[in-house]
Amino acid sequence: MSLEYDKKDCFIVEGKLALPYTYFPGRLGSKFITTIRDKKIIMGVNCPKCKKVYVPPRQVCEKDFTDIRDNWVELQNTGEVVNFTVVRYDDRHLPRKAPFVLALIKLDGADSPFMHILEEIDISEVKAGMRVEAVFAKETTNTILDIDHFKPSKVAKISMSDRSGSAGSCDPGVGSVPHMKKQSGGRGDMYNKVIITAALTGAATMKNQNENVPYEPEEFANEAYKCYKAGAAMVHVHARESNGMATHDHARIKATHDAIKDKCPELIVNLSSAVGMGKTPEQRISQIVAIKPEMASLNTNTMNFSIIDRKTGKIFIDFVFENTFTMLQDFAKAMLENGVKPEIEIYDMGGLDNFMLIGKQGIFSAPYNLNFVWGVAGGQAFRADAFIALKNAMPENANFTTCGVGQDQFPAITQSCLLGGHMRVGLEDNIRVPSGEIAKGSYEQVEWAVRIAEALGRVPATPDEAREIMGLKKK
Amino acid sequence: MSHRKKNRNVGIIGIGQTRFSSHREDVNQPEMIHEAVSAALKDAGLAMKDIDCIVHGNMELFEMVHQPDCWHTLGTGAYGKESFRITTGGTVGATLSCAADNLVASGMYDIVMAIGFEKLQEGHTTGGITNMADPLWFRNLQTGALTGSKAYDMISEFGEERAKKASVMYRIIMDKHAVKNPMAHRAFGLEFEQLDDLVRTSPKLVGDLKLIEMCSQSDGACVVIFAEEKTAKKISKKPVWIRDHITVHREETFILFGYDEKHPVPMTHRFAAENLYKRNNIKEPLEYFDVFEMYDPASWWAVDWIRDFFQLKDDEHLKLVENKEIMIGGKMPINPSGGVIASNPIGATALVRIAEAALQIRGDAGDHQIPTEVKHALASGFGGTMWTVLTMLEKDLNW
Amino acid sequence: MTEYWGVKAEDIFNTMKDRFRVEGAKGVDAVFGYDIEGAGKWKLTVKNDSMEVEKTDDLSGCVTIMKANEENFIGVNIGKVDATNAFMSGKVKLEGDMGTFGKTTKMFKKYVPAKKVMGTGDYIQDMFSTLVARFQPQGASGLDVSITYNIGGEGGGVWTAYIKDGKCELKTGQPDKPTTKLNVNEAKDWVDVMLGKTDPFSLLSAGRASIEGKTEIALKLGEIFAKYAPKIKEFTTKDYILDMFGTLVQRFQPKGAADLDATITYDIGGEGGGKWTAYIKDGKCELKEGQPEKPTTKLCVNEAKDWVDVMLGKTDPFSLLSAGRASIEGQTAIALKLGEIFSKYIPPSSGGEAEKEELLVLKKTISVNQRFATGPIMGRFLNALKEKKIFTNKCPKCGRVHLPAREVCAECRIPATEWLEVGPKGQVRYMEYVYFSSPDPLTGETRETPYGMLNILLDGCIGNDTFAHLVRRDQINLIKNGRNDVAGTRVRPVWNEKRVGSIFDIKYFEIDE
Repeated sequence: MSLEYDKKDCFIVEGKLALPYTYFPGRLGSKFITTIRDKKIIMGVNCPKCKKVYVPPRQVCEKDFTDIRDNWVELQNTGEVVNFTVVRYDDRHLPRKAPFVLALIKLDGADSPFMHILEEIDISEVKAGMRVEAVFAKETTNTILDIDHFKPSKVAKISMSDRSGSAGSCDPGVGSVPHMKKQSGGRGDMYNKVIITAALTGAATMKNQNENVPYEPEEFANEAYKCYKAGAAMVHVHARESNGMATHDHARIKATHDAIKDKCPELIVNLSSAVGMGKTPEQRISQIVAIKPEMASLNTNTMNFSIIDRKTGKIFIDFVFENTFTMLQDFAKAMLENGVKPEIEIYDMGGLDNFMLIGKQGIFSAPYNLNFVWGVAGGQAFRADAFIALKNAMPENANFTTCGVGQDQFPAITQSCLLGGHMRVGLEDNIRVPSGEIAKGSYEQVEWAVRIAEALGRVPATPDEAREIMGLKKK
Repeated sequence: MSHRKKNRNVGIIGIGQTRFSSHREDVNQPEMIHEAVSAALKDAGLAMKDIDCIVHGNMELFEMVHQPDCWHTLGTGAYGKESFRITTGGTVGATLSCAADNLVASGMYDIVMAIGFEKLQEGHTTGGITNMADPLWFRNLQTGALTGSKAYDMISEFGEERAKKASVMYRIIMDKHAVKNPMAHRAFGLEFEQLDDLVRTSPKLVGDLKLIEMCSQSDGACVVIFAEEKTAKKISKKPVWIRDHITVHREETFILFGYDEKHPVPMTHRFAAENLYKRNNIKEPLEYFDVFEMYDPASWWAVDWIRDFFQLKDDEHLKLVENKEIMIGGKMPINPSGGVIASNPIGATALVRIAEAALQIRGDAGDHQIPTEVKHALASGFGGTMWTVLTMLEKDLNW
Repeated sequence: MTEYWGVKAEDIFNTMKDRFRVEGAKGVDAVFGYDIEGAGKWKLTVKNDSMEVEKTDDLSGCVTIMKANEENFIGVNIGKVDATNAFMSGKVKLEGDMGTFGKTTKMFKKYVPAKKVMGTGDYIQDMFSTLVARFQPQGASGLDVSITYNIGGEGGGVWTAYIKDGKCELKTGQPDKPTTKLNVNEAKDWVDVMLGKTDPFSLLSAGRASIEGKTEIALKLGEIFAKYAPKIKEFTTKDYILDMFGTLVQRFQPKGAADLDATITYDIGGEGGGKWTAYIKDGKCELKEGQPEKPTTKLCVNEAKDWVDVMLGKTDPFSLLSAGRASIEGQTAIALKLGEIFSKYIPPSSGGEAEKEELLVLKKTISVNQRFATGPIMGRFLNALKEKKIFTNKCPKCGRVHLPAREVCAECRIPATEWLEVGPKGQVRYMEYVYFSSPDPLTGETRETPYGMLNILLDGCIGNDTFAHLVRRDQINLIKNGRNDVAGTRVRPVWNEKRVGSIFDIKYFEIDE
């Protein structure tokens, strides 16, 4: 039944709904926003079960309620546009005047895409797959708009990010690792690989010099993960106490080691057998025996290892770094017995000679992995010809990498890369990037190393490829 | 009205609640819901994969989030599952239970999870409620859910002193219950000696409705898991059976204040109770039920509604309150949980009544457990402009 | 007048002038009273952008009076007592106009207790007021004693702790024969002992303190009472340095210094600095001021503040060394072992609440425009208001008159087709007397309280279908409700000049005389 009504009385009343409300982002959401606001870092959480990194963070994985609220992962500020739309109408609630681009961006290191505004580009040039980076807001509002927008980025996607399928074509026979002399003319797969190591912290670099120096195990793990994502195959680690002091405490070193392995199981962890000033030989080696990392440093000569004002020559701390022949021998034996591959630290030609002399006992297994260290106050400074002299004096079956303290870092690794060797970077050696700015972390130096390698026509090795080259047991 | 037909019997097998509070800045909505979901799953000994379907509800507009069920998947576990959103005002929690009961009883699903929540600190209750009203008329006048009319009615009927004291007496009893419930939001520790003082000094809100007599505004969530008979018996040692539920709505207006005795206003509570008891053949509800979890938004209403729900005459309801027969240990314990007046996360509130009634039957209510055996429980929901949902819960399949 | 959380009620009133926010007081013209049990009465006069507060016994003329005891009043003001709970449970009471009083919350900046440097007297007060709380029954099992503290000098006094059956009670004064009596000549010395800056044995051997009665009880004090930790005081660099060296011997770890025979000198410059030397030998450590001729190791720090930062873990020694702000003379190795020789320095609790993680709260307003179609029935009803007419429809079955008009009678479920004019005068059946009004969600404005909302049985209507509208403000208290046997107040509408077809074409109703 329908009733007939006179429509003449019908009219329209203009109304309004204006309701105040409050939003509590909660503990996770607050940390996500305040980290963007205060540190300009975008964080996600990692679900260990489904191996996905979610951004924005969530406390449980929605698929099976795995509690992931503490698995924070720092993501890169760069990413890839997976999809986008152009908003072509104006409305009060929209963050920009039309037309503007809303893009779904998969940040480097994340698995879930994340919606934001894309600007500084002609709309017609926006494409799925393009690289973008975050531009942080100058005036913050405690919202996701503390990232003001994304803009096109020249930072290439690190090709190393997907390493699940390791180089299957490699000959698994460890004994057949070619020695480096063959590399000069060769362009074979393996010869062309360069192992990038990140020394996350030494015993002395402190947070107040570079706030990204890790102290806590989880900081180490996050740094290591970022380095890995950037292209490193190995990390070199001196564990720290929460106050930053170098430690020989087994539990702390193990916690640090394990945190890295948990977060990044593929990565090679190379522990220090020096563990800071004033430690006894027993303290230095017992932790290696206890933890049995894949690799550990082994120092070859007693030397001055001091803190000196580089400008005035004034002595701040005078310290003798003891590495007697007995220690060299005992440490080498202990490592051999415990399946730890030594990284032989060469501070000068004498150190190389010490290694070869003690090596006559047959306590080192080939291939030998040497690290030429430059620029320690008490050791030698980087000189290109000295590098060539060291390389020429190496025994057969030896690989070499290099590291340099402070400004020696990048010249030294470039030289190494040129000569077919490997590269070590990291905040242990240098707190800056070549531009002179404070490094955002060891990973930023790894990114530079990757660029050097790419410029020189070499490809960063995956951890498994590095194991192959350095003669480590297959994982 | 004939008894509704159920294809299968339905039992409550899991209960979870958050603590009710006005300070939940530490969690967002799905995170808060997840606390109750986890608690209910744990209580039932189930995992999310065992749940067939989810019904989710709260008040519309109270948090200013449109279709929150989509976003809340992170906390509800509805990822990849069938899920319904229900919102019926203050009754929503009870409607969630009705819907879950119907979904299971129909044979559509074996295990259904009902989720009610509210984060009142995030929203604007008055704004939300005002927008319920006719936008061309009452929206302009209404200022939320406060009214002194019930106080006026009771004072007119029983005299000022007796009515005011009964209302505050009820409030103190609820507080005494709330103190025993660790989930309760407001638990002041009121004493009976404060009765006269509170009658005199508690600030008036509207008419003779005083601040102390009005419910709180809480954040919180409640989750109840329902299963069909066989499953329920297999999973749970103490399933609590839903015997029946009834929903009565009426037109939207509050404007029924003519006080014309020749035109009695049909009240939904009394109407719902009458029909529910009739079709379940319950002659003396006050004797039959062992506990009543009542949706009591204000103590004046609560006292008056006892008369409606139990079909009492004259001042019988006042006597129940005055003689403290509604306390734990009394003849008809009402709201051992402390009731809505202590904790009111609105979208969860009516579901909390059912959850608390079920806990009483299971004997799992902790400090606020009734000392004698609870076999038959009644739970009410209230909302909209005087709407009613009543739910009957049983220890045994006795019908 | 008593202090709670280090604050007196008068502190809160005395700072009101400084905390006054002009923008929060706009349009307020009222006098408020505060009756704080135990502290006195205050009167707050606000007139637009000015305010006065005075302590007075005369609270006449106040629109609202707040009543509370000191503890609750102070607690609510400094956030130590939940305001809503206190208010609802009657611990804080408001008499008079609540709505207007509510505006005072926007009128003042939050009271922040001044951080004060504690003097000797404050420490003594704090020590004894926390003594019972620090009592450890397990350390006093089987004890039935009275311990009198007789503290001389400025800030001193006499207190006695009565301990029995695992309970402790503190009273001022002393009994005839306390089990043990501790005499300290100078209160300052006792504060130093309690803060760990000096030890009681030095005081005793220097004759600055004495023990009467059972000495062994005095020696057990460390077990009977938990360590005193000052609460309010903000530590200065000097305090930290003193505390660090005061606790150095306690923090000595013989295990970390096995076979060590060394003297370690700390030469700390700058304000609060000084020279101290730790003499370590045979697994023992002694601390003296000054330095020997040739310490084994000497740690030089230019600025005491830097050393405090190192000890508090805010910076690290290597940075100081590499920045040239500290240096090591003699055996470096020993300096590097300091972390093993001494346990970590833990500062006394500073009393400031631990830094909370930041939880964001975002306040927003959603605002959307809406358009409502009246439809023919409501349209006719609203249009009639323009003509100053209340024209509506009625159920042909039950005779119920709809206000506003409705298409169908909800009770009888048949179309309400019959139109008629009712009112506009009528009789009040019920008035809602509203003391507390929530802000209007559409404008954010709060309606002035108290106000009255009428339910009017318009002439021509029957039963319960009343017409809702506001009453003229000044007539609220004159309205009488009606029932079948009693007539309610007669009222008439006051129409707006400009009428648009809305409920507010009627301004309000007023008494029809």
